[in-house]
Amino acid sequence: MIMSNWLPLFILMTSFLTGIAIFFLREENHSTRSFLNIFNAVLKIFLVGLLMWGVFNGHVYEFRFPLFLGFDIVLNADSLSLLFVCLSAILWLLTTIYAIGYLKGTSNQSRFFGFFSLCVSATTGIALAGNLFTLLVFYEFLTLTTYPLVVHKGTKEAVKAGRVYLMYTLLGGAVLFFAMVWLSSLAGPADFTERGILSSVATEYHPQIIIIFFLLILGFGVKAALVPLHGWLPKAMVAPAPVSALLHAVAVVKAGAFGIIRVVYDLYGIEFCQQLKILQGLAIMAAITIIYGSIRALFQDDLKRRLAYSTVSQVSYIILGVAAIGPIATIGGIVHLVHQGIMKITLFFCAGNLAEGMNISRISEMNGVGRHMPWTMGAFTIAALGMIGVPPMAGFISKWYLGMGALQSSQLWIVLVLLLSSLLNAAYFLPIIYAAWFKDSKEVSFQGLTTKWTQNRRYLLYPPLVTAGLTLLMGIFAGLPFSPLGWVKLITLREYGH
Amino acid sequence: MSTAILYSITGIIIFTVGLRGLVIYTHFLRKVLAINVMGTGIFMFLIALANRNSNGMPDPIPHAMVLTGIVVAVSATAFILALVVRLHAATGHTSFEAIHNDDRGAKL
Amino acid sequence: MTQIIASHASVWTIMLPFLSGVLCFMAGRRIGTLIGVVTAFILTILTLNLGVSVFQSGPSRYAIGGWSSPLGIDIHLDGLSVLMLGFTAIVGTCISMYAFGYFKDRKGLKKEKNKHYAKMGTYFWPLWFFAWGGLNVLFLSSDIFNIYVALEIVSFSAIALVALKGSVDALLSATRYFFLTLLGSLVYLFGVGFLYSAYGVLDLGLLETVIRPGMISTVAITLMTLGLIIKTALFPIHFWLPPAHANAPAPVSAILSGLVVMGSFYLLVRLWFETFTGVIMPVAGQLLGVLGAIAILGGALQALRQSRLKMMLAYSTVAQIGYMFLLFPLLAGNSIGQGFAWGGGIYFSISHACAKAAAFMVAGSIMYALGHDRIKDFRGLAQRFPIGVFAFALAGMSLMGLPPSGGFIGKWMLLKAAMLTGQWWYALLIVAGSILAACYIFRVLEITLKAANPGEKALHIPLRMQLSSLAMSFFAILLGLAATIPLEILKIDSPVFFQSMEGFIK
Repeated sequence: MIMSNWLPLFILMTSFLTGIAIFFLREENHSTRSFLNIFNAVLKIFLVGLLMWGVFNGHVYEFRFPLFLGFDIVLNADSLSLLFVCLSAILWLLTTIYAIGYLKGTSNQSRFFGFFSLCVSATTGIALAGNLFTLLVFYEFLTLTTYPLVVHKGTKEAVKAGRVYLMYTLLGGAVLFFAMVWLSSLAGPADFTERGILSSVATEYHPQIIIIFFLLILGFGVKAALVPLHGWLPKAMVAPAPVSALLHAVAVVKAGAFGIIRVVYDLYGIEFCQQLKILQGLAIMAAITIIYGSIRALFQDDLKRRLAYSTVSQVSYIILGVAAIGPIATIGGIVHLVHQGIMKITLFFCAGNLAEGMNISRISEMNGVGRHMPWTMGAFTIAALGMIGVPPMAGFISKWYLGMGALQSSQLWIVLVLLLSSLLNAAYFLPIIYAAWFKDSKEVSFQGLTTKWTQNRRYLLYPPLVTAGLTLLMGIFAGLPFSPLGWVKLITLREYGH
Repeated sequence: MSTAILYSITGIIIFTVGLRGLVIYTHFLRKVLAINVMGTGIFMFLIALANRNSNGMPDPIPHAMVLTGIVVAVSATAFILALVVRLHAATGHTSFEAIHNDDRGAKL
Repeated sequence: MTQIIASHASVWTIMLPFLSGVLCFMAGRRIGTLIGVVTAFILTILTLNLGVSVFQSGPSRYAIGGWSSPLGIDIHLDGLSVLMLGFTAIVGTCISMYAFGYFKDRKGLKKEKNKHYAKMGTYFWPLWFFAWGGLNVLFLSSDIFNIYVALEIVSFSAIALVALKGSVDALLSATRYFFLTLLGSLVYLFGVGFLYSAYGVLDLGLLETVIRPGMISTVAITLMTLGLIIKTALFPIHFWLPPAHANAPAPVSAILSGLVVMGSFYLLVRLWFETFTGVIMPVAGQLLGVLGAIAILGGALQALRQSRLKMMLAYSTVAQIGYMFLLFPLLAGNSIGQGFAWGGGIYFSISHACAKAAAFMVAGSIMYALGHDRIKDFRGLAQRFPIGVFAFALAGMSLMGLPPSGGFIGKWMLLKAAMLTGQWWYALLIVAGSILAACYIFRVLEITLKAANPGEKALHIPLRMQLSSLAMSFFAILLGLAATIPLEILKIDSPVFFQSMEGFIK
């Protein structure tokens, strides 16, 4: 039974050690690097599966390493953390396969894949963190490991984007650090507990607790790209496509959103939050972000930038679901963590494929591309429809639960926000789909696909097809117990305690 | 007893005189001498302490301290003089200001 | 024989470096280097042994030659001194390994240039071991006059090390350093004189029992503090430090910024919170805190403006010294925060020693390869020199205070002390200083990640130098992962009540 407590650590190490090992590999050693990457990614999925089975059957896995003076590094596998770990493990495998194809023939690959794996282990650490302290440690680790990926190309533009990225995230980290120490001087080294622990703090400290709450939101909000803290995200688009896919779908933005979920449910507790009346402010912030991000997305011609603004908007669904009190909205918010991840990564894979296969990065150049790259655009279409919320795609499930939750707690304005944002989503995705399939490109004559694309086709095509397939399956089979929705229902049951 | 106090006060005054010299003089050699004067002030102060026993027996510890202090002062002086000589040989100047100004002049 | 060494281990940590220093001087460069490296390792083993024995059997005193205080001089071993000894040994060993590579003949350099390095190497080893020995005396001695002598030994070796290059810049920095540090020592000595005049004892432990508040005590403490502040280079008397640290050869910069700064800071902490506890007024602590605060902001802003890496690191040292001095106002607050302030300040100083030594080693390697340290010309270094840049990044993490690193733990504890004592402004300051530090560290890293200029020539850096800087930076990180061990050692015979460490109001 003692061995099983090490399981969370093993899961963390699969990607961490891979990263370290890859740093020592020679640049030319492609096959070893690819093997290490894929082998460990598969191993990780296997271990996560093991962990999932255990948690489902009520086991508690907790790895504790005393760091100093009562502060422990705690890796804790509960139902919520598993959701995120599982998502990151699967997407790590897919993104790695994609990246192997995408980066073929470029320089500094060892550095790239090394940091890539470290970045995934940081995400895993955030997911498994059993207290705020551990979460902070991995949160900062994530900042450090993603920075070299953002500036990977080494161009002036990349370096500039990296600087903006660092400025935002390090400031966010500093705010978080400050808030956490403050909190720990009021409540000690608090472990995350279902339904929260801070309600035991004496009433006279409640004003401080409220200030700390907003500082924490501010700190996590930077990575979750809450308006007005989102400025880094569109700029970070200069990074290579697999990085954009990973950053936007899984690692960075989700880390921020996940942090907020943890703070609300497992630190403060939903009932205590209600008592302090702090969720209303969060809901308004999320609503503004949703609308603002969608409107900005409408006016982008650069495909990756449009997707980036769409991310800004979509991640706040999660936060909105958390802030709109009630179990059903919670289900909608948390399940969107997975659904948005799968759909958005598909879109980024496809955007990368267009850039690689046809050197297209602008929407105005996309007329008729569906004929030349049907599979890629097919996957793109499924994911985009999912984003809009068309049934039976996964995105529909999230929006349905969010809307029902809002109705249940009789917050009509949230329903309006959802409707408006779905309209906007349609407004910025449908023209792309239409242009790709039905418009003719008259200005430019088709030159044929690049050789790089034809040579690496299987690496670049299978990952988006798999994720697009998952988008469909997660929507259609949402009712099964092991679907994301089923799992989220389990989480919600535990958080609300009835 | 009053002699001891007189000696102590004299020691303090000498120390301040040396400190003033260290601050206001720019020539390296004067600075070195000022440091030595400061040291002497402290030694004077320490020697005065040796005389404070009521039975008239001098206290040996301040003596030991002064002896050690002198050794330190001598080696310090030798050391800084060597540095100053090297600086003079390399630049032809004997103060921070002169070297600094010269440097700037050369660059212009 | 082993029995003798074991029972007098603390004396050997003092004797051995001085002996080797003399031997190195007589043996010349080649054999001297070997003696140096071997001594460094022996010293590390010796101090680790001492640490274990203190851990097992508690603090101890040792009367040199059987003459105990007040007439003789005592050596005292407690958690704090063992910790300082230990980290001096670890950092010292890494620096020695680095210097082993640094002063060797460089392939691709002209003969006269190599001769210059050979000459520096000859004098480096004896001076370095005198400085090390002086530091060990400083950490172990319990006699304030003996400590004065130790301070002078450290200063003189340090000044000679600064002058090692022989260039006008180096000589000038050394001369400036000399005048200030000697002023500091003399002011300190004057304070010692005042204390002796009032109480007639020099032993730290005895002084603690007899010292009373009053005019003379105040004057003495003020003088001693002032002297040590000058030596530690706290704002506003910091101006001598950057040129001295930046113009020295890299191993020397590492010694100065890492160890020598830590030495005088250690002494100040020891005096204030052990010997003078009953006499110190809280206002004085606040004053040092304000100076520290200005140093944090001013030093970091200056660091941002530097165009040379070593100069930037030297100004960063000024800023980090400011952090260490936050210990004084925070410890003077209420009792809940004391343990955190004490632990945090000291932890910060040892992690700074590791991180800054590593950073200077990398800076030296870059100078070795490129022949300059202009930050704007570092393009493409991450690709050509990955181990070094990685080591610099790890050291930078500790300097910025990002987890997991020693600097993070130190800052966390200081921040917590600020929160618990209700001194919010210090908490904000700590965070602001971290952000500024991030700015100057990433300013360097960012350029190294840019695509390289084609056709630039560089010397090949010996692996020994690269690995020792990497090892040093690993220690800076390790301090963030295994914080329990140093903190447990620090608890041994600690003057501050360490048990109040839950540290929250509930």
